[in-house]
Amino acid sequence: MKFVKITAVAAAIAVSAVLAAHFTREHINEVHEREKSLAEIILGNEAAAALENEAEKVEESLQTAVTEITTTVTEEPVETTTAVIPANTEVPEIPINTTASIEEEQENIVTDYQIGGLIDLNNPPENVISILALTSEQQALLSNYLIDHYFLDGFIFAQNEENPAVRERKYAAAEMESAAVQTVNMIMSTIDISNPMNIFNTDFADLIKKVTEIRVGFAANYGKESIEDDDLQKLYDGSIAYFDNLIASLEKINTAATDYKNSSNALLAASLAAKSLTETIIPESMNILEGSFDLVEASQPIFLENTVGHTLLTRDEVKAILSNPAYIIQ
Amino acid sequence: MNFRYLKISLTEDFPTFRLIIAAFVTAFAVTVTVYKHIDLSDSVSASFSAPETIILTLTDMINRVFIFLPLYIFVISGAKSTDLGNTGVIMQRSRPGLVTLEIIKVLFYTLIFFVILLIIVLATSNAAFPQAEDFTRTFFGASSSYGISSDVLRGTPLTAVVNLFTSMFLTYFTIGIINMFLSFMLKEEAAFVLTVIIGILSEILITAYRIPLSLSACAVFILASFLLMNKKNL
Repeated sequence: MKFVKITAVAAAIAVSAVLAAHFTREHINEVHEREKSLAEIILGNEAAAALENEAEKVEESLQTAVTEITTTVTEEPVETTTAVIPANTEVPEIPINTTASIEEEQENIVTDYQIGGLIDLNNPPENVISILALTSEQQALLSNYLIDHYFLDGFIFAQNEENPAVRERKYAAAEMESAAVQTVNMIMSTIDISNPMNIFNTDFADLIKKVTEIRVGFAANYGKESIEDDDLQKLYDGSIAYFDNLIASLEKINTAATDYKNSSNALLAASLAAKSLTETIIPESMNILEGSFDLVEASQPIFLENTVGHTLLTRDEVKAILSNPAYIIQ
Repeated sequence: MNFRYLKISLTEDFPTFRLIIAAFVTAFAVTVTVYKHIDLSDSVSASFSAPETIILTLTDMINRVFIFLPLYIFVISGAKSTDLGNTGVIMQRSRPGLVTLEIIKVLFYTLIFFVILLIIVLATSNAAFPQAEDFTRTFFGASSSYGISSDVLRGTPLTAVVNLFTSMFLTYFTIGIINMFLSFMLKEEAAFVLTVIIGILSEILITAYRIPLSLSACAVFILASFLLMNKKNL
Protein backbone atom coordinates (compact mmCIF):
# COMPACT_ATOMS: atom_id res chain seq x y z
CA MET A 1 0.00 0.00 0.00
CA LYS A 2 2.75 2.43 0.86
CA PHE A 3 4.40 1.63 -2.46
CA VAL A 4 1.19 2.60 -4.27
CA LYS A 5 0.99 5.88 -2.35
CA ILE A 6 4.59 6.79 -3.09
CA THR A 7 4.21 5.85 -6.76
CA ALA A 8 1.05 7.93 -7.06
CA VAL A 9 2.74 11.01 -5.63
CA ALA A 10 5.86 10.50 -7.74
CA ALA A 11 3.72 10.13 -10.87
CA ALA A 12 1.80 13.31 -10.01
CA ILE A 13 5.05 15.22 -9.56
CA ALA A 14 6.43 13.92 -12.86
CA VAL A 15 3.24 14.66 -14.81
CA SER A 16 2.89 18.17 -13.38
CA ALA A 17 6.56 18.98 -14.09
CA VAL A 18 6.30 17.68 -17.67
CA LEU A 19 3.05 19.57 -18.29
CA ALA A 20 4.49 22.78 -16.84
CA ALA A 21 7.59 22.52 -19.04
CA HIS A 22 5.47 21.71 -22.11
CA PHE A 23 3.11 24.66 -21.71
CA THR A 24 6.03 26.96 -20.99
CA ARG A 25 7.79 25.95 -24.21
CA GLU A 26 4.56 26.45 -26.14
CA HIS A 27 4.18 29.94 -24.72
CA ILE A 28 7.73 30.81 -25.72
CA ASN A 29 7.08 29.71 -29.31
CA GLU A 30 3.85 31.67 -29.34
CA VAL A 31 5.56 34.82 -28.04
CA HIS A 32 8.42 34.59 -30.55
CA GLU A 33 6.08 34.11 -33.47
CA ARG A 34 3.73 36.95 -32.50
CA GLU A 35 4.11 40.03 -34.65
CA LYS A 36 4.65 43.14 -32.61
CA SER A 37 3.04 46.45 -33.39
CA LEU A 38 5.18 49.56 -33.89
CA ALA A 39 4.06 50.93 -30.52
CA GLU A 40 5.13 47.69 -28.79
CA ILE A 41 8.57 47.89 -30.36
CA ILE A 42 9.02 51.53 -29.35
CA LEU A 43 7.77 50.95 -25.81
CA GLY A 44 9.95 47.84 -25.61
CA ASN A 45 13.03 49.85 -26.58
CA GLU A 46 12.12 52.49 -24.00
CA ALA A 47 11.71 49.80 -21.34
CA ALA A 48 15.05 48.19 -22.33
CA ALA A 49 16.79 51.56 -22.03
CA ALA A 50 15.17 52.14 -18.63
CA LEU A 51 16.26 48.67 -17.44
CA GLU A 52 19.80 49.37 -18.66
CA ASN A 53 19.87 52.57 -16.61
CA GLU A 54 18.64 50.70 -13.56
CA ALA A 55 21.22 47.94 -14.12
CA GLU A 56 24.04 50.51 -14.20
CA LYS A 57 22.76 52.03 -10.96
CA VAL A 58 22.64 48.64 -9.25
CA GLU A 59 26.15 47.75 -10.46
CA GLU A 60 27.59 51.01 -9.19
CA SER A 61 25.89 50.58 -5.81
CA LEU A 62 27.36 47.10 -5.51
CA GLN A 63 30.84 48.33 -6.41
CA THR A 64 30.99 51.37 -4.18
CA ALA A 65 28.55 50.22 -1.45
CA VAL A 66 27.01 53.69 -1.42
CA THR A 67 23.23 53.84 -1.18
CA GLU A 68 22.68 57.12 -3.05
CA ILE A 69 24.21 56.84 -6.55
CA THR A 70 23.58 59.38 -9.28
CA THR A 71 23.88 58.41 -12.92
CA THR A 72 23.95 60.51 -16.03
CA VAL A 73 21.21 59.90 -18.54
CA THR A 74 22.72 59.38 -21.97
CA GLU A 75 19.72 57.98 -23.81
CA GLU A 76 18.52 61.17 -25.56
CA PRO A 77 18.83 59.69 -29.05
CA VAL A 78 16.54 56.81 -27.95
CA GLU A 79 13.90 59.36 -26.91
CA THR A 80 13.89 60.80 -30.39
CA THR A 81 12.92 57.43 -31.77
CA THR A 82 9.86 57.26 -29.58
CA ALA A 83 8.41 60.75 -29.65
CA VAL A 84 7.24 62.38 -32.83
CA ILE A 85 9.51 65.39 -32.50
CA PRO A 86 10.17 67.47 -35.60
CA ALA A 87 13.89 68.06 -35.98
CA ASN A 88 15.68 70.70 -38.00
CA THR A 89 16.81 68.52 -40.84
CA GLU A 90 17.13 69.16 -44.54
CA VAL A 91 14.95 67.14 -46.87
CA PRO A 92 17.42 64.83 -48.64
CA GLU A 93 17.66 64.49 -52.42
CA ILE A 94 16.33 61.09 -53.45
CA PRO A 95 16.44 59.59 -56.94
CA ILE A 96 13.11 59.76 -58.70
CA ASN A 97 11.18 56.48 -58.82
CA THR A 98 8.46 55.77 -61.30
CA THR A 99 5.04 55.92 -59.65
CA ALA A 100 1.66 57.37 -60.52
CA SER A 101 1.79 61.17 -60.62
CA ILE A 102 -1.05 63.49 -59.80
CA GLU A 103 -1.32 66.68 -61.87
CA GLU A 104 -3.67 69.50 -61.14
CA GLU A 105 -3.68 71.53 -64.36
CA GLN A 106 -5.24 74.63 -62.86
CA GLU A 107 -2.49 75.17 -60.29
CA ASN A 108 0.36 73.22 -61.97
CA ILE A 109 0.96 71.18 -58.80
CA VAL A 110 2.95 67.99 -59.31
CA THR A 111 3.04 65.43 -56.53
CA ASP A 112 5.12 62.33 -56.96
CA TYR A 113 6.20 60.18 -54.04
CA GLN A 114 6.50 56.52 -53.31
CA ILE A 115 5.51 54.57 -50.20
CA GLY A 116 7.67 51.57 -49.37
CA GLY A 117 10.66 49.98 -51.01
CA LEU A 118 13.45 51.70 -49.10
CA ILE A 119 14.35 48.45 -47.35
CA ASP A 120 13.77 44.83 -48.35
CA LEU A 121 11.75 43.14 -45.60
CA ASN A 122 12.10 39.76 -47.31
CA ASN A 123 15.88 39.99 -47.12
CA PRO A 124 16.79 41.00 -43.56
CA PRO A 125 20.43 41.89 -42.77
CA GLU A 126 22.62 39.08 -41.49
CA ASN A 127 23.73 40.95 -38.37
CA VAL A 128 21.37 42.18 -35.65
CA ILE A 129 22.12 45.46 -33.91
CA SER A 130 20.39 46.54 -30.71
CA ILE A 131 19.28 50.17 -30.46
CA LEU A 132 21.01 50.29 -27.07
CA ALA A 133 24.31 49.39 -28.72
CA LEU A 134 24.26 52.32 -31.16
CA THR A 135 26.73 55.16 -30.77
CA SER A 136 25.47 58.74 -30.50
CA GLU A 137 26.22 59.35 -34.17
CA GLN A 138 24.38 56.19 -35.21
CA GLN A 139 21.38 57.09 -33.06
CA ALA A 140 21.27 60.55 -34.64
CA LEU A 141 21.51 58.96 -38.09
CA LEU A 142 18.64 56.58 -37.25
CA SER A 143 16.52 59.37 -35.83
CA ASN A 144 17.08 61.63 -38.86
CA TYR A 145 16.38 58.78 -41.26
CA LEU A 146 13.03 58.04 -39.61
CA ILE A 147 12.07 61.71 -39.55
CA ASP A 148 13.04 62.15 -43.21
CA HIS A 149 11.16 59.08 -44.39
CA TYR A 150 8.25 58.63 -41.99
CA PHE A 151 7.59 61.20 -39.33
CA LEU A 152 8.41 64.18 -41.60
CA ASP A 153 9.12 67.66 -40.36
CA GLY A 154 6.04 69.52 -41.60
CA PHE A 155 7.43 72.99 -40.91
CA ILE A 156 10.49 72.34 -43.13
CA PHE A 157 8.24 71.22 -45.97
CA ALA A 158 6.08 74.30 -45.47
CA GLN A 159 9.12 76.63 -45.48
CA ASN A 160 10.44 75.10 -48.69
CA GLU A 161 7.07 75.28 -50.47
CA GLU A 162 6.84 77.86 -53.23
CA ASN A 163 3.13 77.67 -53.99
CA PRO A 164 1.40 80.01 -51.50
CA ALA A 165 -1.85 78.03 -51.24
CA VAL A 166 -0.04 74.74 -50.71
CA ARG A 167 2.31 76.42 -48.25
CA GLU A 168 -0.65 77.59 -46.16
CA ARG A 169 -2.10 74.08 -46.11
CA LYS A 170 1.26 72.63 -45.07
CA TYR A 171 1.64 75.16 -42.26
CA ALA A 172 -1.92 74.37 -41.07
CA ALA A 173 -1.18 70.63 -41.17
CA ALA A 174 2.18 71.09 -39.38
CA GLU A 175 0.54 73.12 -36.63
CA MET A 176 -2.22 70.55 -36.24
CA GLU A 177 0.32 67.78 -36.01
CA SER A 178 2.48 69.70 -33.54
CA ALA A 179 -0.50 69.88 -31.14
CA ALA A 180 -0.56 66.08 -31.08
CA VAL A 181 3.25 65.94 -30.76
CA GLN A 182 2.97 68.33 -27.81
CA THR A 183 0.70 65.86 -25.98
CA VAL A 184 3.02 62.91 -26.68
CA ASN A 185 6.02 64.90 -25.37
CA MET A 186 3.97 65.97 -22.34
CA ILE A 187 3.10 62.37 -21.50
CA MET A 188 6.68 61.11 -22.07
CA SER A 189 8.10 63.81 -19.80
CA THR A 190 5.47 63.37 -17.07
CA ILE A 191 5.63 59.59 -16.81
CA ASP A 192 8.96 58.36 -15.48
CA ILE A 193 9.46 54.96 -17.06
CA SER A 194 12.82 54.31 -15.36
CA ASN A 195 10.69 52.73 -12.64
CA PRO A 196 7.28 51.49 -13.85
CA MET A 197 5.88 51.83 -10.32
CA ASN A 198 6.35 55.62 -10.64
CA ILE A 199 3.47 55.58 -13.12
CA PHE A 200 1.13 55.03 -10.15
CA ASN A 201 2.45 58.20 -8.51
CA THR A 202 1.94 60.38 -11.60
CA ASP A 203 -0.66 63.15 -11.39
CA PHE A 204 -2.91 62.05 -14.25
CA ALA A 205 -5.71 64.43 -13.32
CA ASP A 206 -3.45 67.39 -14.14
CA LEU A 207 -2.29 65.70 -17.36
CA ILE A 208 -5.89 65.05 -18.45
CA LYS A 209 -6.76 68.71 -17.74
CA LYS A 210 -3.86 69.95 -19.89
CA VAL A 211 -4.67 67.58 -22.76
CA THR A 212 -8.33 68.64 -22.62
CA GLU A 213 -7.27 72.30 -22.84
CA ILE A 214 -5.12 71.50 -25.88
CA ARG A 215 -8.05 69.69 -27.49
CA VAL A 216 -10.44 72.57 -26.88
CA GLY A 217 -7.90 75.06 -28.27
CA PHE A 218 -7.27 72.82 -31.27
CA ALA A 219 -10.99 72.57 -32.12
CA ALA A 220 -11.38 76.34 -31.78
CA ASN A 221 -8.34 77.16 -33.94
CA TYR A 222 -8.64 74.67 -36.76
CA GLY A 223 -12.31 73.65 -36.87
CA LYS A 224 -13.21 76.33 -39.43
CA GLU A 225 -10.10 76.16 -41.67
CA SER A 226 -10.17 72.51 -42.57
CA ILE A 227 -13.79 72.36 -43.76
CA GLU A 228 -12.89 73.35 -47.33
CA ASP A 229 -10.06 70.88 -47.75
CA ASP A 230 -10.53 67.10 -47.75
CA ASP A 231 -7.01 66.20 -46.63
CA LEU A 232 -6.96 68.79 -43.88
CA GLN A 233 -10.47 67.74 -42.83
CA LYS A 234 -9.23 64.17 -42.59
CA LEU A 235 -6.25 65.31 -40.53
CA TYR A 236 -8.49 67.45 -38.32
CA ASP A 237 -10.98 64.61 -37.75
CA GLY A 238 -8.10 62.22 -37.07
CA SER A 239 -6.57 64.67 -34.58
CA ILE A 240 -9.85 65.16 -32.72
CA ALA A 241 -10.30 61.36 -32.58
CA TYR A 242 -6.70 61.06 -31.32
CA PHE A 243 -7.27 63.61 -28.53
CA ASP A 244 -10.55 61.96 -27.49
CA ASN A 245 -8.86 58.55 -27.48
CA LEU A 246 -5.94 59.97 -25.52
CA ILE A 247 -8.18 61.51 -22.87
CA ALA A 248 -10.18 58.25 -22.54
CA SER A 249 -6.94 56.23 -22.20
CA LEU A 250 -5.56 58.64 -19.59
CA GLU A 251 -8.84 58.38 -17.64
CA LYS A 252 -8.51 54.59 -17.55
CA ILE A 253 -4.87 54.81 -16.48
CA ASN A 254 -5.83 57.40 -13.85
CA THR A 255 -8.52 55.07 -12.46
CA ALA A 256 -6.02 52.21 -12.25
CA ALA A 257 -3.43 54.44 -10.54
CA THR A 258 -6.02 55.80 -8.07
CA ASP A 259 -7.21 52.28 -7.16
CA TYR A 260 -3.61 51.32 -6.48
CA LYS A 261 -2.91 54.41 -4.36
CA ASN A 262 -6.11 53.90 -2.33
CA SER A 263 -5.37 50.25 -1.68
CA SER A 264 -4.54 49.94 2.01
CA ASN A 265 -3.42 46.33 1.87
CA ALA A 266 0.20 46.21 0.75
CA LEU A 267 -0.07 42.65 -0.55
CA LEU A 268 -3.22 43.25 -2.57
CA ALA A 269 -1.79 46.52 -3.87
CA ALA A 270 1.13 44.63 -5.39
CA SER A 271 -1.17 42.26 -7.29
CA LEU A 272 -3.36 45.20 -8.29
CA ALA A 273 -0.29 47.03 -9.62
CA ALA A 274 0.76 44.04 -11.72
CA LYS A 275 -2.79 43.58 -13.04
CA SER A 276 -3.19 47.29 -13.84
CA LEU A 277 0.15 47.44 -15.66
CA THR A 278 -0.65 44.42 -17.80
CA GLU A 279 -4.35 44.99 -18.47
CA THR A 280 -4.68 48.77 -18.53
CA ILE A 281 -1.55 50.87 -18.58
CA ILE A 282 0.54 49.06 -21.18
CA PRO A 283 -2.32 48.43 -23.65
CA GLU A 284 -3.61 52.01 -23.28
CA SER A 285 -0.09 53.43 -23.74
CA MET A 286 0.30 51.38 -26.91
CA ASN A 287 -3.12 52.59 -28.04
CA ILE A 288 -2.00 56.21 -27.61
CA LEU A 289 1.20 55.64 -29.57
CA GLU A 290 -0.58 53.82 -32.40
CA GLY A 291 -3.05 56.72 -32.60
CA SER A 292 -0.18 59.17 -33.04
CA PHE A 293 1.20 57.07 -35.92
CA ASP A 294 -2.21 57.21 -37.64
CA LEU A 295 -1.95 60.99 -37.50
CA VAL A 296 1.57 60.92 -38.93
CA GLU A 297 0.37 58.90 -41.91
CA ALA A 298 -2.63 61.20 -42.41
CA SER A 299 -0.35 64.25 -42.58
CA GLN A 300 2.15 62.74 -45.03
CA PRO A 301 0.09 63.39 -48.22
CA ILE A 302 -0.27 67.05 -47.23
CA PHE A 303 3.42 67.59 -46.54
CA LEU A 304 4.45 65.81 -49.73
CA GLU A 305 2.05 67.71 -51.96
CA ASN A 306 3.90 69.50 -54.77
CA THR A 307 7.09 67.52 -54.09
CA VAL A 308 8.76 65.02 -56.35
CA GLY A 309 10.91 62.02 -55.70
CA HIS A 310 10.34 61.46 -51.99
CA THR A 311 10.12 57.91 -50.66
CA LEU A 312 8.33 57.05 -47.46
CA LEU A 313 8.70 54.08 -45.19
CA THR A 314 5.67 51.93 -44.44
CA ARG A 315 4.77 51.27 -40.81
CA ASP A 316 6.07 47.70 -41.14
CA GLU A 317 9.39 49.01 -42.44
CA VAL A 318 9.64 51.42 -39.49
CA LYS A 319 8.95 48.50 -37.13
CA ALA A 320 11.67 46.44 -38.84
CA ILE A 321 14.22 49.27 -38.59
CA LEU A 322 13.48 49.91 -34.92
CA SER A 323 13.77 46.17 -34.20
CA ASN A 324 17.07 45.94 -36.07
CA PRO A 325 18.78 49.20 -37.12
CA ALA A 326 21.18 47.14 -39.25
CA TYR A 327 18.70 47.68 -42.09
CA ILE A 328 20.11 51.18 -42.47
CA ILE A 329 23.25 51.24 -40.32
CA GLN A 330 26.17 49.06 -41.39
CA MET B 1 12.15 7.12 20.46
CA ASN B 2 10.31 4.24 18.84
CA PHE B 3 11.52 4.33 15.25
CA ARG B 4 9.28 1.46 14.25
CA TYR B 5 6.27 3.51 15.22
CA LEU B 6 7.72 6.46 13.36
CA LYS B 7 7.88 4.37 10.19
CA ILE B 8 4.30 3.14 10.68
CA SER B 9 3.08 6.64 11.40
CA LEU B 10 4.73 8.04 8.30
CA THR B 11 3.07 5.36 6.18
CA GLU B 12 -0.38 5.55 7.78
CA ASP B 13 -0.56 9.33 7.81
CA PHE B 14 0.96 9.79 4.35
CA PRO B 15 -1.15 12.58 2.75
CA THR B 16 -1.20 11.13 -0.77
CA PHE B 17 -4.17 13.05 -2.10
CA ARG B 18 -2.97 16.34 -0.64
CA LEU B 19 0.52 15.93 -2.09
CA ILE B 20 -0.94 15.20 -5.53
CA ILE B 21 -3.03 18.38 -5.33
CA ALA B 22 0.03 20.31 -4.13
CA ALA B 23 2.02 19.10 -7.15
CA PHE B 24 -0.57 20.23 -9.67
CA VAL B 25 -1.36 23.56 -8.01
CA THR B 26 2.36 24.35 -7.67
CA ALA B 27 2.91 23.52 -11.34
CA PHE B 28 0.05 25.83 -12.34
CA ALA B 29 1.24 28.72 -10.17
CA VAL B 30 4.86 28.41 -11.30
CA THR B 31 3.83 28.19 -14.98
CA VAL B 32 1.72 31.35 -14.73
CA THR B 33 4.59 33.19 -13.03
CA VAL B 34 7.13 32.07 -15.63
CA TYR B 35 4.71 33.19 -18.38
CA LYS B 36 4.91 36.72 -16.92
CA HIS B 37 8.70 36.67 -17.06
CA ILE B 38 8.68 35.36 -20.62
CA ASP B 39 6.38 38.21 -21.65
CA LEU B 40 8.53 40.77 -19.86
CA SER B 41 11.76 39.54 -21.41
CA ASP B 42 10.15 39.55 -24.87
CA SER B 43 8.84 43.09 -24.44
CA VAL B 44 12.34 44.42 -23.69
CA SER B 45 14.11 42.07 -26.14
CA ALA B 46 16.27 40.76 -23.33
CA SER B 47 16.25 37.56 -21.37
CA PHE B 48 16.47 36.27 -17.84
CA SER B 49 18.42 33.12 -17.02
CA ALA B 50 16.89 29.97 -15.50
CA PRO B 51 18.27 30.60 -11.95
CA GLU B 52 17.00 34.20 -12.07
CA THR B 53 13.55 32.95 -13.04
CA ILE B 54 13.64 30.63 -10.03
CA ILE B 55 14.56 33.58 -7.78
CA LEU B 56 11.79 35.75 -9.22
CA THR B 57 9.23 32.94 -8.87
CA LEU B 58 10.12 32.21 -5.25
CA THR B 59 10.32 35.87 -4.21
CA ASP B 60 6.95 36.65 -5.77
CA MET B 61 4.85 37.66 -2.77
CA ILE B 62 1.58 36.42 -4.27
CA ASN B 63 3.11 32.98 -4.80
CA ARG B 64 4.79 32.77 -1.40
CA VAL B 65 1.92 34.06 0.70
CA PHE B 66 -1.28 33.05 -1.11
CA ILE B 67 -0.28 29.89 -2.95
CA PHE B 68 2.74 28.03 -1.61
CA LEU B 69 2.14 28.77 2.08
CA PRO B 70 -1.52 27.67 2.28
CA LEU B 71 -0.66 24.69 0.09
CA TYR B 72 2.14 23.67 2.45
CA ILE B 73 -0.08 24.01 5.52
CA PHE B 74 -2.75 22.01 3.67
CA VAL B 75 -0.22 19.18 3.16
CA ILE B 76 1.18 19.32 6.68
CA SER B 77 -2.21 19.40 8.41
CA GLY B 78 -3.18 16.24 6.52
CA ALA B 79 -0.15 14.34 7.81
CA LYS B 80 -0.70 14.67 11.50
CA SER B 81 -1.93 12.40 14.15
CA THR B 82 -3.50 14.52 16.80
CA ASP B 83 -4.33 11.96 19.44
CA LEU B 84 -2.13 12.77 22.39
CA GLY B 85 -3.63 10.34 24.79
CA ASN B 86 -3.87 7.29 22.59
CA THR B 87 -1.76 4.89 20.57
CA GLY B 88 0.99 7.31 19.77
CA VAL B 89 1.72 8.08 23.39
CA ILE B 90 1.68 4.43 24.30
CA MET B 91 4.01 3.49 21.45
CA GLN B 92 6.37 6.33 22.16
CA ARG B 93 6.12 5.71 25.87
CA SER B 94 5.86 9.44 26.57
CA ARG B 95 4.22 12.58 25.32
CA PRO B 96 7.56 14.29 24.72
CA GLY B 97 8.44 11.33 22.52
CA LEU B 98 5.24 11.84 20.56
CA VAL B 99 5.99 15.54 20.10
CA THR B 100 9.47 14.66 18.82
CA LEU B 101 7.92 12.21 16.41
CA GLU B 102 5.52 14.84 15.13
CA ILE B 103 8.37 17.31 14.63
CA ILE B 104 10.24 14.70 12.60
CA LYS B 105 7.12 14.13 10.52
CA VAL B 106 6.77 17.88 9.91
CA LEU B 107 10.41 17.95 8.81
CA PHE B 108 9.87 14.95 6.54
CA TYR B 109 6.80 16.37 4.81
CA THR B 110 8.38 19.81 4.53
CA LEU B 111 11.26 18.15 2.70
CA ILE B 112 8.82 16.38 0.37
CA PHE B 113 6.98 19.64 -0.30
CA PHE B 114 10.21 21.42 -1.15
CA VAL B 115 11.34 18.56 -3.37
CA ILE B 116 8.07 18.98 -5.30
CA LEU B 117 8.61 22.72 -5.49
CA LEU B 118 12.23 22.33 -6.59
CA ILE B 119 11.46 19.81 -9.33
CA ILE B 120 8.63 21.88 -10.80
CA VAL B 121 10.48 25.18 -10.61
CA LEU B 122 13.60 23.67 -12.19
CA ALA B 123 11.61 21.99 -14.98
CA THR B 124 9.70 25.15 -15.86
CA SER B 125 12.60 27.60 -15.62
CA ASN B 126 14.95 25.44 -17.67
CA ALA B 127 12.26 25.03 -20.33
CA ALA B 128 11.93 28.83 -20.60
CA PHE B 129 15.41 30.27 -20.16
CA PRO B 130 19.03 29.16 -20.48
CA GLN B 131 21.44 28.51 -17.64
CA ALA B 132 23.90 31.23 -16.72
CA GLU B 133 26.71 31.57 -14.25
CA ASP B 134 26.23 35.29 -13.63
CA PHE B 135 23.29 37.61 -13.32
CA THR B 136 21.99 39.18 -16.56
CA ARG B 137 21.64 42.92 -17.16
CA THR B 138 17.86 42.49 -17.37
CA PHE B 139 17.81 41.03 -13.86
CA PHE B 140 20.00 43.81 -12.47
CA GLY B 141 17.69 46.38 -14.00
CA ALA B 142 14.50 44.66 -12.84
CA SER B 143 15.75 43.75 -9.33
CA SER B 144 14.63 46.98 -7.64
CA SER B 145 11.17 46.79 -9.25
CA TYR B 146 10.82 43.23 -7.92
CA GLY B 147 12.00 44.24 -4.45
CA ILE B 148 15.11 42.03 -4.59
CA SER B 149 17.80 43.24 -2.21
CA SER B 150 21.31 43.95 -3.38
CA ASP B 151 22.62 41.20 -1.05
CA VAL B 152 21.14 38.65 -3.45
CA LEU B 153 23.08 40.18 -6.33
CA ARG B 154 26.47 39.97 -4.64
CA GLY B 155 26.94 36.24 -5.13
CA THR B 156 26.19 33.99 -8.10
CA PRO B 157 22.68 33.02 -9.18
CA LEU B 158 23.21 29.49 -7.85
CA THR B 159 24.14 30.67 -4.33
CA ALA B 160 21.17 33.04 -4.37
CA VAL B 161 18.84 30.15 -5.27
CA VAL B 162 20.31 27.92 -2.55
CA ASN B 163 20.02 30.70 0.08
CA LEU B 164 16.47 31.41 -0.97
CA PHE B 165 15.42 27.77 -0.74
CA THR B 166 17.12 27.40 2.65
CA SER B 167 15.49 30.51 4.07
CA MET B 168 12.09 29.51 2.71
CA PHE B 169 12.49 25.96 4.03
CA LEU B 170 13.29 27.17 7.54
CA THR B 171 10.37 29.61 7.50
CA TYR B 172 7.89 26.99 6.33
CA PHE B 173 9.27 24.39 8.77
CA THR B 174 8.71 26.85 11.59
CA ILE B 175 5.17 27.46 10.42
CA GLY B 176 4.67 23.70 10.17
CA ILE B 177 5.68 23.32 13.82
CA ILE B 178 3.29 26.13 14.79
CA ASN B 179 0.55 24.22 12.99
CA MET B 180 1.51 21.07 14.86
CA PHE B 181 1.17 22.76 18.26
CA LEU B 182 -2.07 24.48 17.31
CA SER B 183 -3.61 21.23 16.10
CA PHE B 184 -2.91 19.68 19.54
CA MET B 185 -5.10 22.37 21.08
CA LEU B 186 -7.71 23.10 18.42
CA LYS B 187 -9.66 21.31 15.72
CA GLU B 188 -7.84 20.75 12.42
CA GLU B 189 -9.81 23.41 10.51
CA ALA B 190 -9.27 26.06 13.18
CA ALA B 191 -5.58 25.20 13.41
CA PHE B 192 -5.31 25.44 9.61
CA VAL B 193 -6.89 28.91 9.42
CA LEU B 194 -4.90 30.24 12.37
CA THR B 195 -1.65 28.88 10.96
CA VAL B 196 -2.32 30.52 7.59
CA ILE B 197 -2.90 33.87 9.32
CA ILE B 198 0.28 33.51 11.39
CA GLY B 199 2.18 32.41 8.28
CA ILE B 200 1.03 35.42 6.25
CA LEU B 201 2.00 37.79 9.07
CA SER B 202 5.40 36.12 9.34
CA GLU B 203 6.03 36.44 5.60
CA ILE B 204 5.09 40.13 5.70
CA LEU B 205 7.43 40.73 8.64
CA ILE B 206 10.27 38.88 6.92
CA THR B 207 9.75 40.72 3.63
CA ALA B 208 9.00 44.18 5.08
CA TYR B 209 11.64 44.24 7.79
CA ARG B 210 14.11 41.78 6.25
CA ILE B 211 14.63 40.16 9.62
CA PRO B 212 15.83 36.57 9.48
CA LEU B 213 12.68 35.68 11.36
CA SER B 214 12.78 32.18 10.01
CA LEU B 215 15.99 31.37 11.84
CA SER B 216 15.05 32.92 15.15
CA ALA B 217 11.47 31.66 15.10
CA CYS B 218 12.68 28.20 14.17
CA ALA B 219 15.07 28.19 17.11
CA VAL B 220 12.35 29.45 19.48
CA PHE B 221 9.87 26.82 18.50
CA ILE B 222 12.35 23.98 18.58
CA LEU B 223 13.32 25.15 22.06
CA ALA B 224 9.65 25.37 23.04
CA SER B 225 9.04 21.86 21.83
CA PHE B 226 11.93 20.54 23.95
CA LEU B 227 10.60 22.42 26.96
CA LEU B 228 7.23 20.89 26.29
CA MET B 229 8.80 17.48 26.22
CA ASN B 230 10.14 17.98 29.71
CA LYS B 231 6.82 19.06 31.12
CA LYS B 232 5.23 16.29 33.17
CA ASN B 233 1.63 17.33 32.59
CA LEU B 234 0.55 18.32 29.10
